[in-house]
Amino acid sequence: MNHKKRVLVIGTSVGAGDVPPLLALVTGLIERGNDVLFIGDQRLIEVTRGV
Amino acid sequence: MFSYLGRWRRSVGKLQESRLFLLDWGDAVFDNCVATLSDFRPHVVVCSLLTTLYLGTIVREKLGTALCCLNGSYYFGPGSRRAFDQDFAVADDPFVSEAIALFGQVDHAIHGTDAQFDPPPDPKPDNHHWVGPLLWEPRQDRPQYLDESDDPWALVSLSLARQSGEQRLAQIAMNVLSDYPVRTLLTLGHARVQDEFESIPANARI
Repeated sequence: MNHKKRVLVIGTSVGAGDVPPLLALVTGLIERGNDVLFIGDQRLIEVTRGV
Repeated sequence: MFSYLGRWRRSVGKLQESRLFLLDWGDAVFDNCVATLSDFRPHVVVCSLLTTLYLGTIVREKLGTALCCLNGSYYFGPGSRRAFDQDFAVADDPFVSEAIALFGQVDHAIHGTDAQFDPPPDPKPDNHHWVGPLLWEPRQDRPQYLDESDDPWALVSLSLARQSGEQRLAQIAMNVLSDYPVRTLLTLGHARVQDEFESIPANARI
């Protein structure tokens, strides 16, 4: 059975305390082979660039 | 988003019923995303509680996608041991209270705590998941000076979100700590802030 999911993640840098938990979740989803589309604002892109 | 949020905040108190301007914002930006989303056909949309839950709600309504909301804090809701407003001063802000109302309608909730630290209510909601601390830091080299033996470290840390007066507060903290036998480490939410400090004491690093 294929458990991999297509996951849309919506983030913003506005709620700063929300950013690390969200990125931890995104990292875990990707590492488990899920197909993740991550939409965020420019600041969030800067934070995650190269990760 | 900021312009919608500003309009919405200005409208609160003037309107008998504070319609969610952020839902309007979600509606406005959704069409720009719809082609991408239609191609991607997500099984689930993940959002954060106090920021993107509004847009996540729109996506669920329009695509019929399951909605999962991430709460980086402890559990609150039916049966919770502490009310949200016991710890968060913004709890009476309509922006927050309406987000919490939407939170009660999500398909799945993930809490960034564990069941030992943050005991679930009894009975535990089937769609709430306690996954433990969700830690993340950008990948970067560890500065060598952190491993050098010397005075203990004092950590001064700024939020990822710019806040009024934060630079002055950090400058004062560094200045005061320069009188103590410590090494001060100031971490920034944004690298550009580094240029805004008047002086960096000899015992401090940024």
